[in-house]
Amino acid sequence: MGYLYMFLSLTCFGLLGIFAKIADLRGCKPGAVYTLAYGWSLLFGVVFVAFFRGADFQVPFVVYEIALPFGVASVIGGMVFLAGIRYGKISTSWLVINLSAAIPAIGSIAVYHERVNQKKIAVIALAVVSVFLLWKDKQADEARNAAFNMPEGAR
Amino acid sequence: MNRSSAWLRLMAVAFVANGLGPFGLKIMAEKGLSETYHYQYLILWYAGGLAFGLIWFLATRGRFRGQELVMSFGIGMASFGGQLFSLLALERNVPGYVVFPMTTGGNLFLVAAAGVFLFRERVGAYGIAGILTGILSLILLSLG
Repeated sequence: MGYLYMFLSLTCFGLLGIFAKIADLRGCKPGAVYTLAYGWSLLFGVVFVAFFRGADFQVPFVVYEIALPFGVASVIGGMVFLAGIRYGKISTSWLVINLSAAIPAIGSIAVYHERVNQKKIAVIALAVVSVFLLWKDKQADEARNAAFNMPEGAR
Repeated sequence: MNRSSAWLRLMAVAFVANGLGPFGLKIMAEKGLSETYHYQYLILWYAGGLAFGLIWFLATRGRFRGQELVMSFGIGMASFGGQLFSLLALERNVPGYVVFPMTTGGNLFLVAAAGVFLFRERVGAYGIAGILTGILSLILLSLG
């Protein structure tokens, strides 16, 4: 059963990227889509806690202090991402968004002074190389499109 | 500004903002709160995002369309479902070193495949190399 949940999880995360691309193709406004999406997620969360976690909504104030600003950062990330895929491909843009998982790793090193080992350095270096390669892919794509759109004699 | 510069700038902002989002979980863990209040934290996290989105949307006098309601339902369900099923898999004793690389690498392959086969995107040699390097980076990261 645990492995089924794991496959459901990866399918859901993948569908998130696919829905974002469909929303872009249908001309949906990034701000509207992500505001409503967070509204839906909030509703699902409240229903889940109400029915499966004993309707325990009491939390210390510090949880509010942590959750609210980071939720704001996240929705901004979602809106800007949806605005950005208008200019790029979902296959590469989605990777950039996932690579942002390196930020908490960097934050842990900077704020909590977690030890920097070779693996962490490799993760960050590979992420930088990956984003550079994706940007080069985008440039090559544009050059190809420009050549394709040139008048016949100019090619 | 050309399209690749626009894409890079927007992705850079999305990269930082989206990456900051989950850092709250690290703070929760450091304060010993994440075990007890994980789901409540998630609710408040979404509430923060919703509040900001509504303020921004009202300030810009935007309007919601039916299409956006449907798409956002899909995104909201996928976002909450992805987080919930990961937690449930961990609660069912699937090791974290299996759950995190599988969900990360798997979802990237799924979206890359959808980009190529469903949306007819052309990914060149640089793109393929970038995707593989990125997946390797994320798998290393999720192994802790």
